[in-house]
Amino acid sequence: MSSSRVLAVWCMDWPAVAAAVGAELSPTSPVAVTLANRVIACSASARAVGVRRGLRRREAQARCPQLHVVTADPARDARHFENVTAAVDDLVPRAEVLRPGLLVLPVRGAARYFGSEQAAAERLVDAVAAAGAECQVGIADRLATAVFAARAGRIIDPGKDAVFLSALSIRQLATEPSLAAPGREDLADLLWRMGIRNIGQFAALPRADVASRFGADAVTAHRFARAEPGRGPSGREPPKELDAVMDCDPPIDRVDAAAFAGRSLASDLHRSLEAAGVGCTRLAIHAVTANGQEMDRVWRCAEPLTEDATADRVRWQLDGWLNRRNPNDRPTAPITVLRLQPVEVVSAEALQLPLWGGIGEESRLRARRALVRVQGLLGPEAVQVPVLSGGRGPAERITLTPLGDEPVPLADPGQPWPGQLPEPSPTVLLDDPGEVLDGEGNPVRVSGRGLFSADPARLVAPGREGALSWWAGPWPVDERWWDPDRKSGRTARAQVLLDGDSGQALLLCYRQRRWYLEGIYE
Amino acid sequence: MDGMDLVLLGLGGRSVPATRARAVVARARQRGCTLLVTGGDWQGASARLEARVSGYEVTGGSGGRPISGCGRISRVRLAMRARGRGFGSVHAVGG
Repeated sequence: MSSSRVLAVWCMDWPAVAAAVGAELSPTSPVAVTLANRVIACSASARAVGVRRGLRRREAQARCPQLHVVTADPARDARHFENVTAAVDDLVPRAEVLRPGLLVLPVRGAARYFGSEQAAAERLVDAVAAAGAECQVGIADRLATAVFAARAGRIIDPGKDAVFLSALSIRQLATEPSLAAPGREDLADLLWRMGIRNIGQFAALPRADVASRFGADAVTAHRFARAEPGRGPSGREPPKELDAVMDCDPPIDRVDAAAFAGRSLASDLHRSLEAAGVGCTRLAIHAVTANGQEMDRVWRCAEPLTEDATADRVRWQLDGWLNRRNPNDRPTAPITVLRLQPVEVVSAEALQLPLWGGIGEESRLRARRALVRVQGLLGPEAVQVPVLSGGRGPAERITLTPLGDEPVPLADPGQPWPGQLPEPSPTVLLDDPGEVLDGEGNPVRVSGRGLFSADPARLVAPGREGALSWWAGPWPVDERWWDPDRKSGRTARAQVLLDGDSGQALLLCYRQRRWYLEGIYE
Repeated sequence: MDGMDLVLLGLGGRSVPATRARAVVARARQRGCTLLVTGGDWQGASARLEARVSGYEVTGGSGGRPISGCGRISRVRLAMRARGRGFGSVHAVGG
């Protein structure tokens, strides 16, 4: 439990403190911040002479004639709080700001470094004081509890969160705006009127009763009251600026120029990626033409891109844009700005070559290099990798993805596919229209009840014609009835065996009131 | 062919001149690659495989005879024949 302990740093009356700093007043002078003619924050000296939150501006000035009144300005609060954040960051990195005046951080590393949680808290208070602000520090197991512990200036023992909270007034539920939803004020008021006076009484209510009577926000509040785990502080470093941008002079209008630009841009990008210790798995290529036309496209890869792979993708993409099949779609002016943006990055561990390759690893890499070279010669779509996909017909079972893309099947093969053709699959797949006739030469249809209109006797298809020695089916396929393009008519499959010496087994598919020769078993 | 263990080449009915074929085979031999050619004639192949469908098995028949409207194709029987320079001619039948 001690691994997830949270420390909160709370600067009391922060809007008033920021306003005093902004107006270059001494920290002890009375200051009040108003919003919509009501006081929302005041300094300690103003509070001492009777200024309270919620007073009207006139009344506050009447109680304290020398009061300095300013209107609320969140930008000012945030601007001055940046000094405090920087001071805390110097001591313990990766603090998360909940709002100006309140920040939280995981305490585990700091406690180990400074010897104890108490020592870490003292150092933080000193650091914030050096930055010109007063603060209180609280430590608890949960983020929300830590915030209230900071208001009380206490360090809560591990596992005692709920005990600490239970003594607080129910009105406290709504005091911290960064932890409470907008309607929390009403909830606290309602609970008060129902006779629930402290958080401990609220926590003792059954969860189901709270959920059914007071709604979703009350459940959040209830979780908080019971000190159940919530979101911890996310000590993540902000993403670095990794984009590589190039102003093309002269503008690019030919593919060979694009290839050179792509190569130098790729090396820029990889230098910044290496410096950040990450590899890129999704790359956005963004181009702006001289006329201000913008184009972009995201490339997704299963493995982190190498420098060569990035250069290849830039070249393919620019090639594609500059040589579109339809001349109207082509950019109307040459490209002046190129930007590569890593949309998704992974840690560089994934980029490390294994020290001892697995069995067959070397030959796998060799094969991959050969295929990538083919791709470089013929374009990205030239090398396709089949993936087993979900579907009912034999053709739907295969998805072809270009090499290097993530092998994602169009449909999940793990799902049940009722009506899927059982093994064996036809070895040759076709899509030729044909005709199935009954004994009298009339075409055979599939009825609404999923039956043949008459027993099939002959098949007439290009290249294959003859009497049937056996047939089975029809097996109706009930899919895509919601799709307006595929709606007309029903779909069914049937297997037939042609009569004669060579007697081939065929798979037929009936859709949109026609028969198609779908596969041959051979 | 570099780096691959098996390359499947569909000729689509075309014939490859012997000089061209020899160059490709030499490359394959050097790289330790198996070249499998279908649907065409290849001069100087070291082995030739022929496969023909000899029959189908259908489930749900009575007395060995399939009944129309019942069952499904459960097996395909192939008669295979391999001829090569090293081993003469071999027959096999399988399903």
